[in-house]
Amino acid sequence: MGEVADRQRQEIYLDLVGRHGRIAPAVARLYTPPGEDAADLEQEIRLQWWRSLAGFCGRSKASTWMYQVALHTALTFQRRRHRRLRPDSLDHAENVPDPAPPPGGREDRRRSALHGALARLAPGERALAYLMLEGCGPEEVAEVAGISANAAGVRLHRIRARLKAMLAGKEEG
Amino acid sequence: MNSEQDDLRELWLQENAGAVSPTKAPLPDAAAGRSETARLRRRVRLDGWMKLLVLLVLGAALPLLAGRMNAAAWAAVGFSLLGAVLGAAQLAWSSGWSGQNTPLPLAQGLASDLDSWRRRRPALALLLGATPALAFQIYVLAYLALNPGSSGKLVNLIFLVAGGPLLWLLASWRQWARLDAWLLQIESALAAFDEQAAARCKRARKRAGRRTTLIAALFLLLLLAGVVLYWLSR
Repeated sequence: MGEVADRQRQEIYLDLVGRHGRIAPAVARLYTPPGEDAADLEQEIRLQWWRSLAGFCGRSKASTWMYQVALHTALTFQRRRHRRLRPDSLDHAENVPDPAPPPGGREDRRRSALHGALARLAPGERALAYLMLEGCGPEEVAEVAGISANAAGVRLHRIRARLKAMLAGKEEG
Repeated sequence: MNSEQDDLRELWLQENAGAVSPTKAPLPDAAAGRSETARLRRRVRLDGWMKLLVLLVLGAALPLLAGRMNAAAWAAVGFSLLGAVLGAAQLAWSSGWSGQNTPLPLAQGLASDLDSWRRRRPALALLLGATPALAFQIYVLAYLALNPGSSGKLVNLIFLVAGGPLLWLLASWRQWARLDAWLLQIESALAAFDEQAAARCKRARKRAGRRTTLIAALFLLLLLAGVVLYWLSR
């Protein structure tokens, strides 16, 4: 009986990871400082999907649940490095250096600038920006974040404006 | 969806074009959790086993204490047993911590994490801080038990009465600050969804900066006081 349940759980997990597994590397990369290995966080996200599968009862879309677990894991995952930092530097917003510009053309530079701009957002705002860039509407963002759709709309609007301003600043620079 | 968002999204999709979903993803190794919760749980368990190890040390030291069971020796045995009891309690407590994510939206999930770790923080800081203090206290008492003539020295009395408790307080405060740094990270994430959390986070960050400096200074002072007292007694 237990074996059947385990096999079913494995099948569901592998099916979900097959369909939405790209969320793990994307979120891990988003929350890993430039130049550091994102593998630990990526593995932790997969582990949390596996462990939390029993709590997923299908009330929300599978992708919504996977975004929720992945972002929660990233936001509470603390790298050992942080312990040696002063607590006032925990908010990345002003402390993340821009990644070195890639050697490619204009599009490559813009992509790198987008990544740099995302890294300059505070961790919670980065989660909202990620959902927006993944194509989630305010309703789905509100469901993942646990805020009202109106509040989600306002925050997404502000974040979009900040990202746009940072990218425009980069291009002018 | 407006054009500027389309533009950002297009860039994002290009950026992540390489990130494909693995078709044959292996099942994750459940024992290899690398999150702060998993690390904390491992640290608490290791610390619990270290406290239990004192029973072995006590067993090995009993032949030395045989025939010299004075007040200091009984106190050393008492502190060792206290350490073992605390170690066992720590192991039992940490085994009940859930390693899985709360099935809640981000804002509620983070608030629930903050709440449960804030409730655990005082006991956790006191328990983890007790290990070096107990080791120091048992060492001083064992020394006095084996050298009854030294009990009258002022320096030994100061080490006995003030050393252990001060070390406990400072070590516990340091553990508190370490936990606080992590909780501050969660609170700063929560600030994106909750205006009140943003204000609390700002205040907490200022306090945490001052506290880190103070703890380091007090540790240094305690160490210096110990060295000076020891030097004066010679």
